[in-house]
Amino acid sequence: VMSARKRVKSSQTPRTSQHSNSYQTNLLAWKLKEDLSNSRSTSKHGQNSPVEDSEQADADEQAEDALQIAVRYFEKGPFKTSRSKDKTLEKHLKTVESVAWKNGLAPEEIDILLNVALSGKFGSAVNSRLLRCMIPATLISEDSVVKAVSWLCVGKCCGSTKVLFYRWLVAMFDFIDHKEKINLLYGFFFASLQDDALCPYVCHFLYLLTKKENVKPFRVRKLLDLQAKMGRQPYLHALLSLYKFFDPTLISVSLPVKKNIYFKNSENLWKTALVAVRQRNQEPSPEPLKLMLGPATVRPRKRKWNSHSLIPVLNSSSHSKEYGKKGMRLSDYLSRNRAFSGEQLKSFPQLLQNIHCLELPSQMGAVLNNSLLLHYINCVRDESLLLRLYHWLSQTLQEECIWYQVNNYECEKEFTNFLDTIIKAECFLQEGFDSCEAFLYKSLPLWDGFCCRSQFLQLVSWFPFSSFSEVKPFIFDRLAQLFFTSTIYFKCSVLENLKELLQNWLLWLSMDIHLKTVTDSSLETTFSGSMQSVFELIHYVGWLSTNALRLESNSTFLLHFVLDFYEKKVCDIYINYNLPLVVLFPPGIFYLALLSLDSSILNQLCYIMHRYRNNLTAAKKNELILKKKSEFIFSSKTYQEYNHYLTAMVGCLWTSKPFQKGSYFDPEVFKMIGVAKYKTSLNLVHHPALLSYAISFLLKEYPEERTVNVSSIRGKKWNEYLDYLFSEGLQGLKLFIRSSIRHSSVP
Amino acid sequence: MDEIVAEFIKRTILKIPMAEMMTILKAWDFLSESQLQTINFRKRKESLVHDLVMLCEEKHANVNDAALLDIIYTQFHRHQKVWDVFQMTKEPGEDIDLFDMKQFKSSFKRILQRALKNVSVTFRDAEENAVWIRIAWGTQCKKPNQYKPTYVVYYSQTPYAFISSSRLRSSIPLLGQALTVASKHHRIVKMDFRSRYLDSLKAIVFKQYNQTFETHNATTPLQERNLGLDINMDSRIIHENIIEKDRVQRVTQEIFGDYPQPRLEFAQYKLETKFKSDLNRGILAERKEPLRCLVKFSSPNLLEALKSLAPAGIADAPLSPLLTCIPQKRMNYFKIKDK
Amino acid sequence: MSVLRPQDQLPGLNAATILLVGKEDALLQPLADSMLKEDCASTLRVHLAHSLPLPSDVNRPRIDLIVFVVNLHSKYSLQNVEESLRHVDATFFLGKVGFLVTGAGRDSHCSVHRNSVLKLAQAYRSPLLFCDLEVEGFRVTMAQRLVRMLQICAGHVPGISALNLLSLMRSSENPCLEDL
Repeated sequence: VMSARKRVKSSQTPRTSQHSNSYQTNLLAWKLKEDLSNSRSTSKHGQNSPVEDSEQADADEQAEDALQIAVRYFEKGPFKTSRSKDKTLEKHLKTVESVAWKNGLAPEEIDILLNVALSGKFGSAVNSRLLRCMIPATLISEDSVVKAVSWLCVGKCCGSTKVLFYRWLVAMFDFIDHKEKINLLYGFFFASLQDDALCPYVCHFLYLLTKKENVKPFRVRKLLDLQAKMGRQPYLHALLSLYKFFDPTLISVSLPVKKNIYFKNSENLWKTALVAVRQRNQEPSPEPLKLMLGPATVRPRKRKWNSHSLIPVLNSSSHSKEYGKKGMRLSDYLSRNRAFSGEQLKSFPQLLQNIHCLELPSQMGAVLNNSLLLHYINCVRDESLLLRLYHWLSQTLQEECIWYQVNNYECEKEFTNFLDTIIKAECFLQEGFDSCEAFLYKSLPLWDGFCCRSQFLQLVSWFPFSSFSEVKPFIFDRLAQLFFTSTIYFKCSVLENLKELLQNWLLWLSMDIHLKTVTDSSLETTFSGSMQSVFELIHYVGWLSTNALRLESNSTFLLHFVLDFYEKKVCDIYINYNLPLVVLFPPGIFYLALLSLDSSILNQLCYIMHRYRNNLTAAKKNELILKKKSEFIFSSKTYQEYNHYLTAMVGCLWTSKPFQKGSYFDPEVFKMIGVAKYKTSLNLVHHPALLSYAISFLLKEYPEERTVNVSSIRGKKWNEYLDYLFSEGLQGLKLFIRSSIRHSSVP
Repeated sequence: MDEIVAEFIKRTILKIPMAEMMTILKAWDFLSESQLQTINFRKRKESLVHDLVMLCEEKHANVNDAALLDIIYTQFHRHQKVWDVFQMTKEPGEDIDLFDMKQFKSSFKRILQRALKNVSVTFRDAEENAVWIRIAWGTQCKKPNQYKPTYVVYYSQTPYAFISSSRLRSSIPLLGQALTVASKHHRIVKMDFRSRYLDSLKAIVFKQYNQTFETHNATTPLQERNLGLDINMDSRIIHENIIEKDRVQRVTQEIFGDYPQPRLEFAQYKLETKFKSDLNRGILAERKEPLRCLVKFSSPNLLEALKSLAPAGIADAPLSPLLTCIPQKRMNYFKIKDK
Repeated sequence: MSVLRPQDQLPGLNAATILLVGKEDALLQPLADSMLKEDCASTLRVHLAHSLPLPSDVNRPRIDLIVFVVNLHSKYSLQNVEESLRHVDATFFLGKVGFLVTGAGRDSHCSVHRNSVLKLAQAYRSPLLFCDLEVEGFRVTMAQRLVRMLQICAGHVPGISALNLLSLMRSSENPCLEDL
């Protein structure tokens, strides 16, 4: 206590309104610190095997002591006698640096040293070294930051120190326990924008800090002035677009929707340290915590590659502060605890009970792994939360993406897991993240189509609904380039994921219609515009499919995937999603399927035709009832086209009068190539996909027969043959024939 | 043994990595084999240092002994210093005296001591007639500072000396004077040539690195190498520019030779040239002042890097003579002006 | 010296020949090796050249596809490609030319902006492929894609021609990355 008192005397906290009680907190913090260090060393002994680590622990304790001395030294300030000053200073600096980079510093130590660094007691070189090693062991207390900011007003530190401080703030933002008081200083930070050197960093910091209530007309004006003065700097642009996002009415200037990264990775100074902090925060919780929360929190030891997974573990501030106070009982804990932290949240009812006081983790990335918190984020719709999450996501995606890290591509596994988690969260929310969209824009051109294929394509399938023609050049054209030059397996997976994409868009749109809320004004999508978008997407897939079939020499395997797209999604849009849209497949797919050698393809085709018929008749009925026609969606062309296909099918399979109306084939050609009976050769009996059925049908009837004459199937036998086909599982064919062919016309 | 010497020894030993401890102590040859055997080298470094200092105390080590240890450490870690090359010249027609190492040492030391009073000079003979000199500087009224010494490596009977760069620039003229007088030269000039790799500097200065080159037939190894390449290669891969490739190889080899290049880690070019353009337009054309710019090349092994530029297809062969003249001109700091 | 023309020679039986143009052998050679390792029905040949025009005194098979390799880390490499392009007959640009860009992954090392290559590819109406050739995994996938393109350009895929492929690959004029 003696030393603590001395320290208080010597420290010269600048007087600002926020800090009237800073003396007291200092003292408290000091005590707390001692408790902490005691408990820390004991728990360490408990965890590790005592023999092996006792030496290590000794060394750690020594370092700890040295650190204490060093911290006290800095606090007292430099001695007048300069002879020995340099050496001692150097020694203490080294101590602080080594401990900071190894274990991180406790909140109280950061508090003191941050004060020292910004108070200008030492030279700017020392200040910058101190700032560089302000690495938290776990968290940074908000008060320290507020105090530090107050030093900026006194003007004792030079420009470069200020810059470094802001960079530090940005880098450590997620580790600051609360932000409310810091947010109160918003005006101060905003004023600092005028300093040209500080501006980019302050912008970045404000980008993280801004809440809706911070957006004020006068600030917008100021920002626009700044932009006029300094030109279109990406950082100003970022802040402006954030403001516009919060309050679109305030900013009438149109900002181009830039999708690139606004801020350079300013925090790379601390990058390795941050990984370490994250790792530390992720370590299994120490003993007292487990007791409080019950056995459910015991986390299984993760496998090695997962041990520093990219996603931080839930760790909200108040909680970790509390557990430092030894001897607090569970009841105390629960009763005094107003904010309900993320780690405590275990069930949905809990979420409902505490939804008013839920405290989100200090590191936003952690919500990705927690479905309850995802629920919460989804329903509170607090833009600043979402923005923080998106910001974190885009940074992480950008930094970890393996094709940007040529040297580091062995961490593919880790990145894959990360993408998987994102996709899981997207599936859970049934919604794509903005940051993933931006990531796709940026990285799709560089993607080789192979690594993380499944994840990457799934990201595509969660691409948020948007105007197709607008995003086509950035996403779909590039995808097409890859598509046409890659293997058939790649083509199949692309089709599969585009199917998912279509489904997501359709769901989104059908929800939208029911809610009658076309909320997103930025998209400025009218309803017919949205329909046009979906239409174009389907058209695009049709184009891809037709050409893919040519490239892969009409592979049946691929054709299955193509028909699947139409069967599962396209043909039933009107009935399933209640959207007035029917898009038929292109002829290249239709005829290929009709002339296929594979009976299941033919069956699939029949089923699709059947569904189209149902949708079209339903649409027609509604049109008649409502007396209103959505002209674009159901042009008479669609019906014509359908009828055309239908005629061709019936002509081939049933009436044995193929291709009469369209006159695609000159009968002379068939004569020339020696197919005399071309008329019947595509009917249900002679069709190459069904011929084997016809033969087995006949063999079943006449097992003794040596030669079978398939042409004998007609009249009554034709009906028996049909039943035989249906019994063999050709349900699509059955539905098609029942719905589209009147039975009187048996050939 | 006074406290200053003990502290000096302690700090020097602390610098030595554990893996090299035994080798360096043996090279020092101050503590006997049997004394060293009494020490447990598996202990923590702090206590090991304590034991060693105790032993030195018993043997009454003096500053000179400690300085020798420091020289040996520096010899092992010579790449941690940046070395400048100095060239000395004689008056034309001056006699070639016989070189006497003893005389050199004593006159060198005498000159420094006369000027400064407080200075400690330590010599250690090294291979190839070289002598390592360690100078800890003091002033008339201040004891020598053992922690900021200057190291000089002088090859006897040559006009070259290598001096570790230090912040004490004021001492350089005096040092030069002592060197010229002691080695019976007339003038000393600092060359624009410096590197961390003392041995490479030496090899370039004494033209030792490519010696066998002249006697070797240049064409044979080249052909052999090409043959080797062809065998490894798939016959379905055809190099269209094989002749050009050969030319590049040959030109590169003519310039750099067959053997590994000495290591330098940087080269610096200061340009002070006027802007010239065929189109007499633009603000630059009217500028009277020369344009100043600094181009710095750096690499862990600059000469090897330069050597591989053309074969890797990153630059045209032959390279600009400005880049390839480093070993011939024995300089890596250039100033380029309009000529 | 001579301009390279696609129709100068008759095709060899089942042969498909690609010409890779780029200064850096260390990048081209492994790519060529990876291509030859691909399982492919055609007889592949890979010609490597530093620049065009090619030496004229040599017999060489008909070239079905030219791929210009640009390393974004070196302005010299772009310059070299730009100069070489002048020695290619216009008919080659009907689907038998591609640009392969390497080094885009490491933004900080780039001395050529991606847009300048994009513009180059647009000006010559030819597809632009990105791949960091230094990374083996990426290189192998790229080799696979090149072999497929080569087979089409050599006319070994029935029903589809080089020009056909080009029109599939060259979607609506690619906008600059700046506009993203």
